[in-house]
Amino acid sequence: MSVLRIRDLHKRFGDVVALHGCSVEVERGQMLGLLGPNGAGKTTAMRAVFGLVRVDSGTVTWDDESVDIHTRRRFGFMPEERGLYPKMPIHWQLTHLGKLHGMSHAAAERAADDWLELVGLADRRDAKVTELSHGNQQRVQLGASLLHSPDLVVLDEPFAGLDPIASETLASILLGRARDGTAVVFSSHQLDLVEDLCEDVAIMHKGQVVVTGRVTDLRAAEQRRYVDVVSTDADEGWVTHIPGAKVVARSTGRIRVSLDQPMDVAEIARLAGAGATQFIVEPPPLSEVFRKAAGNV
Amino acid sequence: MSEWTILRQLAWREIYSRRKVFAITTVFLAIVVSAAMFVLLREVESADQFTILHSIDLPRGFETTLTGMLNEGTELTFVRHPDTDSVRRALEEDEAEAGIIGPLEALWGSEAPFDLKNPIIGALTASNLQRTADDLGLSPDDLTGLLATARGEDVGAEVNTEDEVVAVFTVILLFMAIITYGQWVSYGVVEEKGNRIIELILATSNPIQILWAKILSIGALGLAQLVLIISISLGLGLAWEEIPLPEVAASTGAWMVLWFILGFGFYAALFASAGALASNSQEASNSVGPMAIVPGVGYMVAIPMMNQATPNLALQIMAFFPPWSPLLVPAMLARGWMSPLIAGVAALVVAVTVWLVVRLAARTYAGGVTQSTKTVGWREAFRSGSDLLQ
Repeated sequence: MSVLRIRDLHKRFGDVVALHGCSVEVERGQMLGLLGPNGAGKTTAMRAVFGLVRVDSGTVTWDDESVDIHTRRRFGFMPEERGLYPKMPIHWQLTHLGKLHGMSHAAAERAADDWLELVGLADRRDAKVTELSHGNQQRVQLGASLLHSPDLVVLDEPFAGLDPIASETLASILLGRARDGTAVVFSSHQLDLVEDLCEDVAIMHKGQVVVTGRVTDLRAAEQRRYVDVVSTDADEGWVTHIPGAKVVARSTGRIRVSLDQPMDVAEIARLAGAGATQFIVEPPPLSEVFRKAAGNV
Repeated sequence: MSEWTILRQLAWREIYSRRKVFAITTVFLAIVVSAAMFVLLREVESADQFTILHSIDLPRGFETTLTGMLNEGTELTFVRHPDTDSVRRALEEDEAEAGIIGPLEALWGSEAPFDLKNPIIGALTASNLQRTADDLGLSPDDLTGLLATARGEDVGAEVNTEDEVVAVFTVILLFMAIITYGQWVSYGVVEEKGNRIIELILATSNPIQILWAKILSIGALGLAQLVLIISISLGLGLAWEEIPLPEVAASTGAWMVLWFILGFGFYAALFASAGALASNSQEASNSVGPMAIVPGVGYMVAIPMMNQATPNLALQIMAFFPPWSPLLVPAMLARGWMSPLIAGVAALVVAVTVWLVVRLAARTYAGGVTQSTKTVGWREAFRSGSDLLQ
């Protein structure tokens, strides 16, 4: 059952339409990837959840109640433009932010200790933010949004600028929180990572959610299919016998064929001939779903 | 968790982040004020000392007359020289301040103050008159009658120089404290907006809570420093009895505390909203700068007026306008130009104004800080801040 409901948000900045009927729902324990090209309205929608932007119309509810300051204290937020006090010790800042989210001093201190231990910064607890590398700053920033064990975490581009190891660490932390029942919403342009991490996505375009659902369902719903054919026969002529089919990639003994619509594997095998020994049929990747939704295909 | 606990936590961060600069400036100011009081003490304690040379026998009654004409406690040393040339040489080498070389003739050294020259001339003239009167057989009464002069009397209001000093000190100290700590507020706002942490804070706290936390915490630091300076001044003034502490000093100190609270509340709210409009500290200076002109006008009007016998009409009117009351009312109280009752009414007016200004400023603040990537206009910030306060 959905706990966060964003319904029909509209927002204009002068002549620019940032949100145009944006609606999305998130359940407890769900990890939702919010996708969309630059300017699609992802950041504005996320900021609206935290009351950082005054929407022209629409509602944001949590457990069917309007989101107010008391509700927001149970949320965690990582804005696109990272924000911490540059010259204050990181442990002090995390404790401070934990207390603003309603934790007692002792609990906030303990949670800050645990977080810094978890992300390998226990020995840097008195370091200032400016003394940390970008990746470590990101770890502290993430701590600021997760420290108080929120019911909902909203992260705007959390993987931006992270190396693969840091991304992996962050991904595993988010997966862990989602397993514990936290609703997680994050935006990202790294679609392969989103595909690995999220079961569900919402794709925004021009201020509204144009596609939403399970990643597997969205991919399967596409007509296009890709078939990897392993063959001892170098002849690709059989592909031309399939209307709309074309070879999109080649490597030794293997071709990747794009089909305009699903097709029976037995029929493909028949056309490919006896040299073909292996067929892997896949729906299009998320990036293709994204491009289509964003109007670029 | 109560809203008060959130406000207290926000306020504590403001204090924590400024603890070093506050400690340094407080120690510095304490040293400066103590040093100034000590210099004043030494000045008071060090009575004038003059050496007067003479190549003739001093006229009868000269020493007594001269002592009576000099400031109380002035120490005089008379040194006899054999002749006029010897006196002249000694004065040229700055061995003394003055020399007596005839019944009506004196020489001055380069260090001879006006306060010494006049009494010596007067004392020599008086001694000469006395000697002439004696020669003529005139009685002291005859001499007094001969020397009778017309007299005049001051009937205008008396200007108490010490009260004037207290009033000027009050205006300067309040102006400096309000502007300095008001700017701490605006720079704190623009810092949080600039480094984007304000978005995390706004996710947990109401804009008005954040604003009050800044005003109360930074105001508490300013108040602590002001009270310390006043306490040191009054404490040393009482401890060192030689320093003439004006009667109005203690009451003025108490009034200053009240008017700092009101003045700081008024300007800090405005400075905070001005800071929220800016996207960096340079722009914050541009926003706050014009606003600082307002108390500056009060300062410029008040300082030259404090040595007048009576306040002019402009000063009396300005004292009832909230932007200027905090600077002018305590100074006017020190000069005795305003009754405590009227000052209390003015304080009430300003207190109500502060409450209104904080509410309006919170809306502008909320609209300004949430637009973190750009500079915002007053109108736009005020309009967009309305819903964020709910």
